[in-house]
Amino acid sequence: MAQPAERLEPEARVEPPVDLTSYLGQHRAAARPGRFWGLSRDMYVWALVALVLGVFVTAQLRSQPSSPPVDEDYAGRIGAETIARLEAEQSGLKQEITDLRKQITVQQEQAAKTKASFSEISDDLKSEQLQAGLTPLAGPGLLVTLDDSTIKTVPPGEDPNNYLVHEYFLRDMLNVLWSSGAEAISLNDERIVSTTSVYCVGSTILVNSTRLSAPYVFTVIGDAGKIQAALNDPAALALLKYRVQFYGLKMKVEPQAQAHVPAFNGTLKVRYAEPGTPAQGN
Amino acid sequence: MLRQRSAQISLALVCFLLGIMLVVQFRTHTRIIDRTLTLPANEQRTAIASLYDANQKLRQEVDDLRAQLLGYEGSLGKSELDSMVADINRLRAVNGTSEVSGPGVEVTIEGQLRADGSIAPEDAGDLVNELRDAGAEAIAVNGVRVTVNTYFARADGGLTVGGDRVIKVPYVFQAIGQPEALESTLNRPAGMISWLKGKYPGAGITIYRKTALVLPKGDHNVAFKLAKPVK
Repeated sequence: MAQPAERLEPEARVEPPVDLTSYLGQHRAAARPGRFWGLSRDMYVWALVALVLGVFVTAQLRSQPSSPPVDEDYAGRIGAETIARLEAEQSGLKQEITDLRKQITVQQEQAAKTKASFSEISDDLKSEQLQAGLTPLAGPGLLVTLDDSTIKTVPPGEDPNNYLVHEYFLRDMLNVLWSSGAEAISLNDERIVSTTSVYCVGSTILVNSTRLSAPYVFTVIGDAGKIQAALNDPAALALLKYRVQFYGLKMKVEPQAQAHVPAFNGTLKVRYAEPGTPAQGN
Repeated sequence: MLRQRSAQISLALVCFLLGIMLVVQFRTHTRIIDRTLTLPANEQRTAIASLYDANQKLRQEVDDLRAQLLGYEGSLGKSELDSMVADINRLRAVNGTSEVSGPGVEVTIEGQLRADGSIAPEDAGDLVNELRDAGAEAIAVNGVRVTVNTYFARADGGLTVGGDRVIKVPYVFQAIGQPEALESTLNRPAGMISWLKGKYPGAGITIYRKTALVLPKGDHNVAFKLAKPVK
């Protein structure tokens, strides 16, 4: 056979696979020895070799230029993991923000309610403190002064008590002042409150458990004209006026543009009275 | 023989191409899968950086919100409100701006009194004064709550409380406070009971301790029209 040398070489190298193929094709050879679909055994060998070669060449060709493909993949995988981790962290943070915002909204609503009830309660408290006389007040009104008689010597047969201002005169005065619309009253700087009593121990007058002495000055905030009219009513304070007229007791009424009534400075303890109706009746 | 040879060559060529195509196909396929998992290195870096920045900001936001939440929890305690409510209740009892209940005494005056069937306004005032002196915390006369500005006056029907309420016998004075202290103060030798018995000999005057009195709220609170609070 006059064939080129280059053709001889592959022929020779393919020699061992011939045995292999023949071996492989042995059981088929029984039907059609040496042939399969009308092609020789060699053809299959060649095809197989070419296929393997093609695969290798291509694999080589494609893997060759990108020389560090393993490193890039590794870095890429790390990068992908980092991204995934950061994304998971992000969704966690977003969830936390959503939860916190919800909690804050709840707190804000509560705070608003508390604030509203606080200002409501605060207003109520101020109003009750005002009513209780715990707030110093100023306003138009008058001063009413009562003083003992200046007569130095009591005539014989006269009761010396007739020349003094008694505690019941002070009580009667308060009654008239309240009846004529007084808004606030103090007596010698003692604020008249709901628990105030005016009573006498021996010759001492006590108001808010504080000893007072003449002259007794009522500071009144209210309509001065109306109060004066009530004071001038002949039916009011009849005994006091009689003593003023015949025993020298002193009574002076002075309208004030701005009267100052101090705050009550005692205690307003409540130990027995409870708000509302109790469960058990009487 | 020659024909067979060329057929062999062309088949080998076809198989060779087939092999190339197979590998190309396989590698392309894996590339595509990888791209969905990983971005090109520079894009990856950008993505990581922006995610990192975003997370940093989100973390800051979380910290701010936590601080805000903590601020709300520290404000306006309930105990502060409770003590204010207690103050209000105490003052309402004192001011007569709420109904109150508690132990105390009940003084009843009936029988033969003055010609018009009443007691003198100053006697009613003096009895209230004595009850206050004895430590009464809340007082009512014939179901009318006595407040700071309550006064007694003469009226056509006899006696008025606060000007518009005419009250008639029996006069019932109710006071909440320590019952024994109230009773002993009124019953003392020169006290109001003995004074009233002397002034109204035909009257029946009794004083009883009560375990549970209920007094209504007052209806004549002071209206501050001229008086203004001073600082």
